[in-house]
Amino acid sequence: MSLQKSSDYNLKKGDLILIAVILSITGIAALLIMQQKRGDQVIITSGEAKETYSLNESRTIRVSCESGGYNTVVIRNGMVWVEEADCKNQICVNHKPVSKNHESIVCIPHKLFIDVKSSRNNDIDN
Amino acid sequence: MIRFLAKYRHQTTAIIIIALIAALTYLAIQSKNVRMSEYDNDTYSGLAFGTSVKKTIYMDSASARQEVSNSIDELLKDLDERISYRNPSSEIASINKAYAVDGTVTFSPDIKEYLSREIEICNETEGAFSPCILPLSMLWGIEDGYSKPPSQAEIDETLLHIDPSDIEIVDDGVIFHNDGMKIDLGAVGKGIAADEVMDELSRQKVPGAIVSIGGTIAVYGDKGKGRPWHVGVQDPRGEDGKVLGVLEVDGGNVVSTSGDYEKYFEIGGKRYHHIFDPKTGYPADNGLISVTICTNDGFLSDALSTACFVMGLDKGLQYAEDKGVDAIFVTAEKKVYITKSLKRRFNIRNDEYELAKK
Repeated sequence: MSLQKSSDYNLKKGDLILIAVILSITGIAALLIMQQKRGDQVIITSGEAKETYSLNESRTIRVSCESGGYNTVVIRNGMVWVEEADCKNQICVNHKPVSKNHESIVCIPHKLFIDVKSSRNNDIDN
Repeated sequence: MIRFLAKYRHQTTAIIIIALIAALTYLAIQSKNVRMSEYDNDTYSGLAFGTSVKKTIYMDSASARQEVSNSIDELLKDLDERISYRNPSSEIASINKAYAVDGTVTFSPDIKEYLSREIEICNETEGAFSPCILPLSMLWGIEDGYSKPPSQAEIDETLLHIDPSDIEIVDDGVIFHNDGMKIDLGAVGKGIAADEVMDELSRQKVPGAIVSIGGTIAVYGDKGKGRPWHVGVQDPRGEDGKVLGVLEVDGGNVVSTSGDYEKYFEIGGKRYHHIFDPKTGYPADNGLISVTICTNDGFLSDALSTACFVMGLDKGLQYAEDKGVDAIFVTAEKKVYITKSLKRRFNIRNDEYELAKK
């Protein structure tokens, strides 16, 4: 009887250790994923100036270019796009929002580059 | 502690085994996705050749990647200065400014070679591709932002000075048998650049890279996974960056696209774009909205995308098959035609388009 009880107790303690180990593995994995996501970046280059922003924090950035024009860049919901610009061809404004690794938007007249470094892999290479 | 381990040795063994399995799985995933097979990489965006240039370089050393990117920038700048008709000190600009009719003009060997190849493609395409269309594109001025068609009289006058049969290649140079002619390498410039970029990548022993020069994409080597690259083809009627489909490409190829969506103006719903038919003097108007060519020769890739766009679907597709290149033709009705070689290597990823057969 007493032996039986002891065996019950043993099993419980083993279970606890097992649960603790599984929980800590899950916790570490979650931390790693969060860290990776926090590393998602938007790099905006305008002429010589270069700024890095998080892709996961919403914000609106007005970028003034050296020739005097501007581009309004919006980061929201893990995506980035050009909302408005006074460049002559409007190619940057007509570009689809980008979010995946290696995606970019360029405004040639304003020498503006928006590059994404993201944990979201892109299955298209160019 | 030892007594504790002895007491719970089964549990301890189980935990150690689980931990080992977890660690091995983690390492396996890591090595598969990041280390052992795919090289570290960086993307560099910039301007060159009057267009945007984007380089993604796969190479383990970060400083080496940056160096390769810099040397490509340097190379593109030098090449543009050498072959651009817009650079007043280039050989081509000085010829365009003045030459003696029926006299022999000498060129650097490489420029003469480019011109000869252009003339060869001109002959093969019965003049759909022209090495001397510059007076016509300057008259229309679409690349310089003009937004009104020239008069018929102006077009007719210009047509007199863009006949490729007035150019003769001789041993020691080139002879122009007419006045007012101008040559340019605009329709092949990005292809030449792609070829030179691939040579540089090979010299620098880069494992893999993908370099876009405007719409011309040099696909080089291997990312480390031993699998083909995936090149997105632009939807000619969609937002910039939206794809029509995805093309599987092996390293060593150049993908070029010519479309009516790149530079154009519209009047009364009619689109006037920058790819001219040398015979009519007007933008090519045959129902095609884009042509993509993929082959291992950048010059040919770039030239054929323009040539096939002007030739139209029937003749163009046949010519592409004859030349043994991969080609994708898109019509205004959003029908997509591909060469036989692409059957298993091109996937449409846009509901508005459908694959069609001739």
